[in-house]
Amino acid sequence: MSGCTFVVFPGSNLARAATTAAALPGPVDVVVVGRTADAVRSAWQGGGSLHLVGDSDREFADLPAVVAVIRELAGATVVLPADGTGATAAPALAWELGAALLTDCVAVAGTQDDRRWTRRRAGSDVLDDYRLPAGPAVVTVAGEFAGAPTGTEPNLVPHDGTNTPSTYDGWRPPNPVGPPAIADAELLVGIGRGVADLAAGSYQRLAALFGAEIAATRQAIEWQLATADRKLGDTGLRVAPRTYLTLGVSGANQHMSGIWGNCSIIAVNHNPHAAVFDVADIGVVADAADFLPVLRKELEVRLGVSTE
Amino acid sequence: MTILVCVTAGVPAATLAARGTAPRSGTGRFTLPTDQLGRHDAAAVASAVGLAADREDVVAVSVGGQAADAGLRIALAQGCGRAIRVDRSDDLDGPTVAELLAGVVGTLPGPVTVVTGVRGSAWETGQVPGLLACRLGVVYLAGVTGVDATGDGLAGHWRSAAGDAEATAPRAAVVSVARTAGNRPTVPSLHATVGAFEPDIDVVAPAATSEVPVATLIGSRVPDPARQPVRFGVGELDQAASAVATRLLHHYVGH
Repeated sequence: MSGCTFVVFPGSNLARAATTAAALPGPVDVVVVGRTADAVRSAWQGGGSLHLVGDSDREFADLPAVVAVIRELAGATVVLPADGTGATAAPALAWELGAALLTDCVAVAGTQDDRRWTRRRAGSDVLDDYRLPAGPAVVTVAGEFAGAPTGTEPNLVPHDGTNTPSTYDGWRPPNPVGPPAIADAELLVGIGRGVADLAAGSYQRLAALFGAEIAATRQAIEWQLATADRKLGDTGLRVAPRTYLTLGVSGANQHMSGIWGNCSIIAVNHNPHAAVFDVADIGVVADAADFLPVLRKELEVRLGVSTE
Repeated sequence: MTILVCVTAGVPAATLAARGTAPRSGTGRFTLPTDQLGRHDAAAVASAVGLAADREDVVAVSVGGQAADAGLRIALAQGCGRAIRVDRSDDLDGPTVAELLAGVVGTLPGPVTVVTGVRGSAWETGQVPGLLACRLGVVYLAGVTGVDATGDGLAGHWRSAAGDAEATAPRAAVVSVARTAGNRPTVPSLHATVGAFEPDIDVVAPAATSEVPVATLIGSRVPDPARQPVRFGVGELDQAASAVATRLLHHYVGH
């Protein structure tokens, strides 16, 4: 009982889950819920044994069967992605397994016998280290967990789902994820009204360089700089990218509330007092129109490509 | 029928202690208010008040010491009919808070709809609503953008650019609400604010809780220096581009 059991419910992104699983310590068993074998094969490049439970996408209807499979496996720690579905399912799994619950971990360290899980304390950037109790535990992990999948095809182990009604039949996870392009993106370029004067296509070309998707503030959408399905925040989508590059975004709460998890934020804004700098890991006080060409050139050199 | 809305207030003692030791810049940034409702709790109160036909049906509950009264007074000012504080002054983990709240639900009349913020009630861990639903054995509507009363039940709504969704549930349910425009509290009037200091807050002893396994906090630290915020000015665009490119390509697939 030393490894992890990584559980991916419907609604979580499989390709991204594969990178998360690769970063977990010890032997990792993976349980994928509500996906067909074909869907898993096409999205999972992480190798290893994947236990498939149920073939419906009825949120948590298969949860009793998932619990049964987890009990069969050897992992002492059950890990889920800290996205909407994982965060909703984690308490239920902890309850069913009689396990401790630790949410939103950003790192794990230590030896097999003395493992420390780290989470960021709410309301601050202080990091707290936790030790899990000796028995079973359920942990959700945020976006900073990322490893390199092996690239090999997984060995799929099907398990039966359940048609037995359970308490969890009525459970619903947070709102349906948005367009896959944004909801699943690991890299996002956010645009605000500060990019209104940029040359047409400039930030789109930059995003394409490193495989990022475009997100936008409400003002940017009102100015028709992006379509409404790319709006983040209180009235838009909630997403959990690994890195969020903002261009001309002020950083108002109404927009930044759309960023979940502990993603790395890079802010470019000409206003040195913009709120976005309070949460940014890297801040560039400059006009986006001045900075973008320099950044694009740097990326092109490093990637050995040209967008001219 | 009762609507129980769960709130917390102030910053946990451990976080306040950390504030005293953290450097002034770069680390120790605090975003939670110390004397207001947490942002998720505020959304919960707004939803609960909107859900009730009569304000007397809405009961605000908090687990904490006397400092938690501040949040309960704000909830009263924003339309809750009465307030209950479960008297536990230590910093509590999510499972224990859920156990204590479940004890309060058992003392209330009729089917009880529990409303919380999606990450409310235990310092944004997001643990309480799900655990509470398990503990009570009721339906859990997670992260709704709106909730309505429908005859003898509830209808939860999820709205996103991808489309709308709706689910129904019996009145005995746990509903966690997302922070959206529809769940924003209105600023209470001066009359309501002053009036909120009149009613007594029912202080109840914590019910006996079953033993729940919890993770042990073994230490706290400021972030890795590599994660410290860095700032570049207009004259440093080349250095800025280098730093930004490094960070962007860190997660670039195939790089």
